[in-house]
Amino acid sequence: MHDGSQSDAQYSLPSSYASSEGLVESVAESDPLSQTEVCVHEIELIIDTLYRLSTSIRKPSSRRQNTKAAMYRIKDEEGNDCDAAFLEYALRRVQHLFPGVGENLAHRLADTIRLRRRMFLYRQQHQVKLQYRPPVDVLKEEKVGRRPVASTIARTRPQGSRGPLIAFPPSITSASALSRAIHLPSAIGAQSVISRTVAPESSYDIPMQVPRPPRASPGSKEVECPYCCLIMPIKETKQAEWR
Amino acid sequence: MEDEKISTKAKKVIELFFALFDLAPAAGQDSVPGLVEFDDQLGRFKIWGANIGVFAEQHASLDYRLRGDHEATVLMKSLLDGLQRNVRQGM
Repeated sequence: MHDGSQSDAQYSLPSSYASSEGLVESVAESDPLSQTEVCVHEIELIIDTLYRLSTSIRKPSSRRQNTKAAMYRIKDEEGNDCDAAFLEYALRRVQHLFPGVGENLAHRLADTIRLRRRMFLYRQQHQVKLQYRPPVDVLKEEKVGRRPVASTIARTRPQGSRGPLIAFPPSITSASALSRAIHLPSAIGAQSVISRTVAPESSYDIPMQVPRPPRASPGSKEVECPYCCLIMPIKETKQAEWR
Repeated sequence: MEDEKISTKAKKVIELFFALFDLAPAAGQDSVPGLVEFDDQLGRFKIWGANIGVFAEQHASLDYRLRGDHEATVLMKSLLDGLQRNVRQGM
């Protein structure tokens, strides 16, 4: 019955998870609402733990993504290679915004802009590969009461990328192995892998264009960023945090 | 039971959620207490599954990613078993 009991003893899982069964059973059966609340709360905690564990699992692949993204070629909607053209555009953009910039610095900035674009596009493509849609009998969309079952999925899509999820043929991507150096008990408590930095306000009169944060469904705790394809807590989509 | 893949256990979690939702009309109630909350958690679980590649094929799957790491596999499976238990208890 306690399939995870050994793991519970070995790793410091949240105490509420370890004692979930006893807690649920202790609630009076004459109070089904409380029992349901307890079940939902336990499910929420377990899914929180799954998210944190997944954050640590994806850490090595996040680092490798930058290496892979560096070799990614930017292509237009028709599949034509426009990587060099984008680099030229980025270079001209930098030189236009900063007329007095040195040539070496301008090239470095243009290379960085191209690399960032490669990273975004690579992550988008990689995320589509991961979003394999199981057979319909598993993920059937049903209406329950007045609400569709899958209405609370806090998922957004990049602009221009509409349509249903598509199934990629197998073996088109290879998941990186879990790093043996990860200490799982501490990994469960790991927060988001999204790196942060604080930049001073620009002294130039150039307003910085920041894309709008993704919208999350009511009640959801996480949202997938449509720009970097990383899962982030809802609080990071608030305006102050987002900028 | 321990031979089950992570993807199989995750699939069972989703099946149990849908079984729970199927019970709602049979209960003769317009709205089962907590059904909306279960729906929310199912949505979170599906996002997690899609992001980590639980149902991805072959080398893209979470099972393949955790290859060779027994501890992480056991931990992941135990969490999914816990989810199954709690969804069953919600019925």
